Amino acid sequence: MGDHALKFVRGVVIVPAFNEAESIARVVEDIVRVLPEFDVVVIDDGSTDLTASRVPGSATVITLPFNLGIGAAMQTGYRYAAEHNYDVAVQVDGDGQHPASEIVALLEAMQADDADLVIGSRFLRPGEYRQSAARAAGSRLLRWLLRALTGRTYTDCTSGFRAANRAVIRAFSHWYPDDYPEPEVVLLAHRAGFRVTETPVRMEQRVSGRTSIPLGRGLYYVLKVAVALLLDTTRQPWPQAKAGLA
Amino acid sequence: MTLTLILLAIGNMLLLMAIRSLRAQRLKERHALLFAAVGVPFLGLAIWPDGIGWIAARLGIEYQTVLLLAVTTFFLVVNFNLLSIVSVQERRIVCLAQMVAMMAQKLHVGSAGGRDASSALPLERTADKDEEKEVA
Repeated sequence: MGDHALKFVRGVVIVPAFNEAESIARVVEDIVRVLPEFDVVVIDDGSTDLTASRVPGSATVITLPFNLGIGAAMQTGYRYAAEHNYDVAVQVDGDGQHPASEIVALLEAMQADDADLVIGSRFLRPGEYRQSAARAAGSRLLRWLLRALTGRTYTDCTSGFRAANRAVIRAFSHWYPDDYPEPEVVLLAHRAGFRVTETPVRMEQRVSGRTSIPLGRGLYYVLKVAVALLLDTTRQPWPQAKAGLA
Repeated sequence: MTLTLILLAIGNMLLLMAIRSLRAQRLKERHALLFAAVGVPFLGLAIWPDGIGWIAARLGIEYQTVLLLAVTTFFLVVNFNLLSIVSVQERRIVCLAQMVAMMAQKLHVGSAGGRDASSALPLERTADKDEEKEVA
């Protein structure tokens, strides 16, 4: 690990997992190998397979009593991080899409940009990540909408590969969007005054399990997110964030 | 006659739904009461189809459709109220499930003498406080 660890006294990697028995052990082992100083907490979101029992002993497992969805699973991780006073929390999917080696890039970007929330973008390295035409169109629409609402360009607002500092951890532990929260978090964090940046990362295609957003529901997803984003412009879930009290 | 049958069917269906849900403990009394209160007027109208015209005349409403619009608005408000209750309850359930999971993890670590046992702190119930505000 490089100098990026010096600023972050304590860090935790949050791994939400739903029926990821095939990949979870490798994901956790990779993280521990790359970032031995960081703790790893796996949020088992009511899996019906052997996900929880496949998690290596080096990681903490929190097993939700039933499937709550990605938003609530992530909030559980942030609650854990806030409760244990971590300085930084990194989100890594349990399906193996996010290489542990790229976490360092997130942490370095967080330090270099003095960012509160860093999003790992697979699209800042053109041509490296393949998408279907429908998904690409949906991504472009959300990107355009976020640019209209924030004045900034977020190339990969659906990326779940993120790093958050202490203030954001506190805010997310307090409240976190439900269902498909990634784009909403970008908008709400931006509106709350947090410095949200992106950094290029490499991502793998999924190695196991099912995507949380099946292709058939893509259009519904985009419409729902678009409406949710527009509604989000009327609310402020973290009112103390600007004052640094989040 | 057709109108009477339709109104009878709707009224009976609402009442049956309320009673069945209440018996199966899927609906709280106050919400079952609401369905019953909605079902009874349908039965009343089935027996006395001109009733809505009579009510409209008594209330000084010239067109019966305006009264129907008012009744529909009432149902929409009721629906909104119920959905608000469901949303708040859902957030509370999520919060409780998270707390249960985190406490279970602490118990597991504590009983195993794990490294995290000493750092376990009381959970903050910030989300709960928010939800109480929303309800208020």
